[in-house]
Amino acid sequence: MSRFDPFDAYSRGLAGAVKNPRADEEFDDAVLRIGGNPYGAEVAHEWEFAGLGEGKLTLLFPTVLEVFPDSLPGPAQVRGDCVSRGVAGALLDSMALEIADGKPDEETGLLEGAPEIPTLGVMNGVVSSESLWWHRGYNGDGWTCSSAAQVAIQTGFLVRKEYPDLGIDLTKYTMETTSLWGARKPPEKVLNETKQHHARNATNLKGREQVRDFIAAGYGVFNCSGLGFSKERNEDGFSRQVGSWAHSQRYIGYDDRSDTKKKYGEALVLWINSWGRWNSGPRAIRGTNIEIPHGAFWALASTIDKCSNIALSSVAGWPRRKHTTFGATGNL
Amino acid sequence: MKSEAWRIVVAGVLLWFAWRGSEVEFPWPNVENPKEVQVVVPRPPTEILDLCGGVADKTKTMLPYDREYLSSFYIAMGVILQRDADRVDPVIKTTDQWVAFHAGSLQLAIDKKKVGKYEGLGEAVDLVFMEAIGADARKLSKTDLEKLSKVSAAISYVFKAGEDE
Repeated sequence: MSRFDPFDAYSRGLAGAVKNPRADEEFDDAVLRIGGNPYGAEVAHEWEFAGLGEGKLTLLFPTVLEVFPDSLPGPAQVRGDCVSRGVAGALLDSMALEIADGKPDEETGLLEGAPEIPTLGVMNGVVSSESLWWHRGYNGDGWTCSSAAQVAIQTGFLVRKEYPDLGIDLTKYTMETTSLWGARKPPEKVLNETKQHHARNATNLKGREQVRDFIAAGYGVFNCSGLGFSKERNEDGFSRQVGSWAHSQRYIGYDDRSDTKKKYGEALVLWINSWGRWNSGPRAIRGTNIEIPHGAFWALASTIDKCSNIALSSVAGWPRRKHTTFGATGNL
Repeated sequence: MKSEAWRIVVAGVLLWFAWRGSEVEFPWPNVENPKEVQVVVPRPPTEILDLCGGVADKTKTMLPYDREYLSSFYIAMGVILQRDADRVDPVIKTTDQWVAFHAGSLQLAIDKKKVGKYEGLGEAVDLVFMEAIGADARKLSKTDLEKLSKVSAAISYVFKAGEDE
């Protein structure tokens, strides 16, 4: 069996991201029912972070990598499950930012800690994209961003580790793990486990300024679009939008600095793909000694305007791990 | 940090307190003539000393040379922790690393056959550290390392049983 080449497959028309207006409505409804607001602009104003990213270089990924070293870019897709990879990535981003923030969870009041997962699980992206993917209701490829976000807030997800009680090992992302369920729902015991860990809220973002401000506020944002990009990065890590992919990716930074806007005519947004190290070229961010992750690239902020974008917030929850001994018990 | 590197660090601690002992006025405990041992451990601040009540209770039934030995061990640990706190890039960065360092050092310093000789002593020592910096698994700041250093010195003082008062 030939190895799946995502760049080739998507360039040839694989429909990984699928439009479904009905699913979009159901997602909006799901957000309202949990007490959220599906209109991101209103959320940003209500929570007073509208404009937070203006004029700044804002990066999510350094904190993600601090909390979960080597978690980016994650493994390359083995099938057309980009939407589940996009939402899983946004969950990872929101979760990492929350953990680093060190503030108590707003519902439980507990300090959130990082889940205990093996190094291989971290390198495979921390959050199991398959655990969301299983809920699409069919076995084939392709999904809708809004449906994936709805699963993230209603059903929840698992992380990359063994679950012996469930009889599954999600440490590594494989074709096998993506194929466990789809047309058939996962069994009750899996659902009971996923229910414990979910995004508390989600909202739709329209346009580049909303994405800019949600990133600045520390929220993971993923998208669905028909946009393809060059495999080559220029001296600033920038890639041209070229071609067409029915695909889902996510954003992990935004450059709204005036000198960037002067050079490129507009702000830039940092995309990251779920195709491993699929692209090449310089990775240093202009004016800094920070490198963007492999698999990432800067693009014009106007690309955001051509995408459906969803932000995820406040991932419940792993209580901060506590020590039961400090080394003397059993040794003194 | 790989376990092999940690073994080197722990061995380094023990070599340090064995080698430098005389230079900081606490020679290796002399089992045959305990009265000749001079361990100078300054009285710690009251708020840190107050955390050590559980350890103080345990010392009442301990043999003098065991108390002296552990006093030397913990004053050395306190010095190492302060040196690490003073580094630009400390070796001990997380509570997990501190636990491994503390446990590893004790495993090398205490004969396995003697572990548990004083029931509850290990738990009492751990409780002092936990009350000082909390039980959360987390990163350690410079302030945390300094506190661990002061707590180690306080434990040393309590083992010494305040003979210099």
